[in-house]
Amino acid sequence: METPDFLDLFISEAREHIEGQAALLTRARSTPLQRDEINDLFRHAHSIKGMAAAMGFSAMSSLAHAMEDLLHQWRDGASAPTPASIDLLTRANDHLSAQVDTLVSRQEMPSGDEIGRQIRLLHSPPENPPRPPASAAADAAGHARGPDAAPADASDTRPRLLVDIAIRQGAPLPGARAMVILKRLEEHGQVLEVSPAPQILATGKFNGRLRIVLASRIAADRVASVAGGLADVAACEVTPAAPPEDPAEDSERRLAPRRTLPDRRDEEAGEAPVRAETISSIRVPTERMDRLLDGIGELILDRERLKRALEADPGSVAAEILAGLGRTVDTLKDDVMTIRLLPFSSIVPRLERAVRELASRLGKEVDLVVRGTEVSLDRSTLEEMMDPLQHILRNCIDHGVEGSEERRGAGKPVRGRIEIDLSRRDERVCLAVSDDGRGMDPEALRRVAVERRYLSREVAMRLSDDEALMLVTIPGFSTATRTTDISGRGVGMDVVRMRVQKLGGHLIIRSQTGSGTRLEMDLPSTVTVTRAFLCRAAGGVFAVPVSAVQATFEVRRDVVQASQGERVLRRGDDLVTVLPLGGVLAGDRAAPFPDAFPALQYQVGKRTYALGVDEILGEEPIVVKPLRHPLELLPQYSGAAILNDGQIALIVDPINLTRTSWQP
Amino acid sequence: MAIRVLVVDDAMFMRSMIKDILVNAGGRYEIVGEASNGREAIARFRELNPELVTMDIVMPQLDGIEATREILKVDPAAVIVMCSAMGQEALVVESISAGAKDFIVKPFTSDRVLQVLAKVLPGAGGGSAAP
Repeated sequence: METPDFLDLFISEAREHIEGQAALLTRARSTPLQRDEINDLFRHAHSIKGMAAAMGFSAMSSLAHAMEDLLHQWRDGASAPTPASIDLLTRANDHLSAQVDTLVSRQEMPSGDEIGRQIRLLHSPPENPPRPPASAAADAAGHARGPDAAPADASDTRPRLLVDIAIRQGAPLPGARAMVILKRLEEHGQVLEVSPAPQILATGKFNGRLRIVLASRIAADRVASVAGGLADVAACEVTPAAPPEDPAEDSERRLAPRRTLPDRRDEEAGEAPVRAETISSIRVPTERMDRLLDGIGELILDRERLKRALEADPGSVAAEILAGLGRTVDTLKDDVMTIRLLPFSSIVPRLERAVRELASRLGKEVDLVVRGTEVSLDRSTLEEMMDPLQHILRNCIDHGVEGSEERRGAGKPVRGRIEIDLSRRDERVCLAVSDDGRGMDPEALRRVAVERRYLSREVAMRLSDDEALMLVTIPGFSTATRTTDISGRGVGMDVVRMRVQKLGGHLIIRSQTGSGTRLEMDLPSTVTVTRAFLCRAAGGVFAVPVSAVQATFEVRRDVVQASQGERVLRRGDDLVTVLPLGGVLAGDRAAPFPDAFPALQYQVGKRTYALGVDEILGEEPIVVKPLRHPLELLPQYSGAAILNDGQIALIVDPINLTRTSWQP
Repeated sequence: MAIRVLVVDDAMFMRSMIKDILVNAGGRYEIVGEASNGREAIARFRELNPELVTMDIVMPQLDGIEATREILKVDPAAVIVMCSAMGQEALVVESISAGAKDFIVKPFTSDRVLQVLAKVLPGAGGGSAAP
């Protein structure tokens, strides 16, 4: 049953249930759980258990089962929530989440046995079902009447048949199977006796063998074929039985199986409010959203092409229709892009969970504060940022935040504080993660870089403090005095930087020794269609997003001066460093400029740059298509676009382009 | 003529699995409707009058056992098969007691489900006769 479609559906539904539980359990820490909240918790655990079992993920389903049993007790009032048990369930839920994560990362799923065991220690599973008082009267041999047996009628002269049934070894829920058999036999006669007794059958704890005394006019072989034809019946033998026993020996032993859930009918009689559940949202696989978006992108391009092809007279009917079409397409595009947007709050629970887990494993006390959670990002951007954010949080907790002793000594509050801040600026989102830990020392980083021969001493000295901080994004770099098995070497900052770049964003690291570190990531909020300058350079066409460009202007080579190995010019008060796009892409930063050329001005940190190109062809909307592996590793390109004439233009990211051009 | 089935489970995931099994049974079954809780199940049963209902036990609003009872009041000949998870023996027993005809247990396998369903409908191995 494990087609990829089901796995995705399973993961998304399982996560919903896990999030639901997380929200309820978080609430439970401050306010006592209401009855319907306990019911909801129970149903979430139950659903996870069922779905995981259906997929064969026994590690998940057995943990969920343990949770469900405890929640069942809470429902019944057999036990009540305590801070310890709520905490345990929280941990168990976090573990379920981690198990789902391994499905995505295709790692081995960890067992939940340890936590499951702890949960079971909190309660002993209820007797299933509790014995009704009348069972004391059941005789030692366990004989009893059939579940709906009326008192044996001495005048019932129908022949007695002895029905011996063997339920298939390994059949699920043998007790329920026995019940089905009994019910079916009741359609053909009256069940006078059944052994073992129904309350034993209901527990499922018997050897699978049933003996039934049936009063019926139907021929024995007919009964045998009825019973034998049922699912999970391995064998069935029907023989005439001895005449009826002395009715005086039978006692009234109506032993209907007990229900273990509180009787819903009582609840309803008390007029509990019924929540109207209307379908107000649907789940759509991200792939379908991607295809929808591609379609919109094509529509936009087609509109541009049509506009050009018609070269319509501005006042004409065609121009009007085209304008209307344009508005419709723009609205459609905005709507679809909005559908893809998710508020950051949708991943906050996972981040909180990660912080809890890491803090506990690393023996640190840390609080997480998230601000700007309503800021929305494209859902695939959010998904792609999960790993980098987890790396960053791991670093903060492992290397950034000090142990309580050290913090006390430094006059800091004992609990470390990690803040995640989101803010929106035009089409970009700024995501910052900061901690109040020990910070990073640029001098120490320079030293390590030289020691490890990443840089020569001269170059290292020339690096500004900001640039020195970025050294941690070199793969394998680590200034940790000890490597833990969790963070490992290099602490994954190179992965963080690459992932941010892949998404079309930038990473800046700020730090103050002793006070803390702040990582700022500037990301595009939407993907797909964006306006860009199409430029010719190095014989090809490149796209530079309009949002990255401050201005475009003509440059005459004679105003360009050499200064400290760079070529610069003055624009008003600014000193602008000029780079040749074609040259930089070809690895030749010092390629000569033509006499006059257009340039696009942009900012990298505090410095102003201008990218010189052969020609600016125009400014138009382009559909951003992500680059596939391994091209997405190239930081200077943030994607590709298909142009009107079918040519492919690589989309240049000026900031990353500039950074990669710095000589080591 | 395909057998008309109503699939009831509060998890879309489970409904998808069951539908998948039934739809791939050589045209024997036709899914005519779905419901995600007991109340919906009763309403849809009335609307659609299916020949077979697969019914989850634990559901919000109204559970499968109650829904089974109500549906049998509407149509005593209704064929309802309970879908249960392991560890719910007592609930399944009670469902059977309430009139469900049979049950299937998660994790489902296609063979198992089809086997049980094949035997549960009238005319499939052991019709009723006057006692």
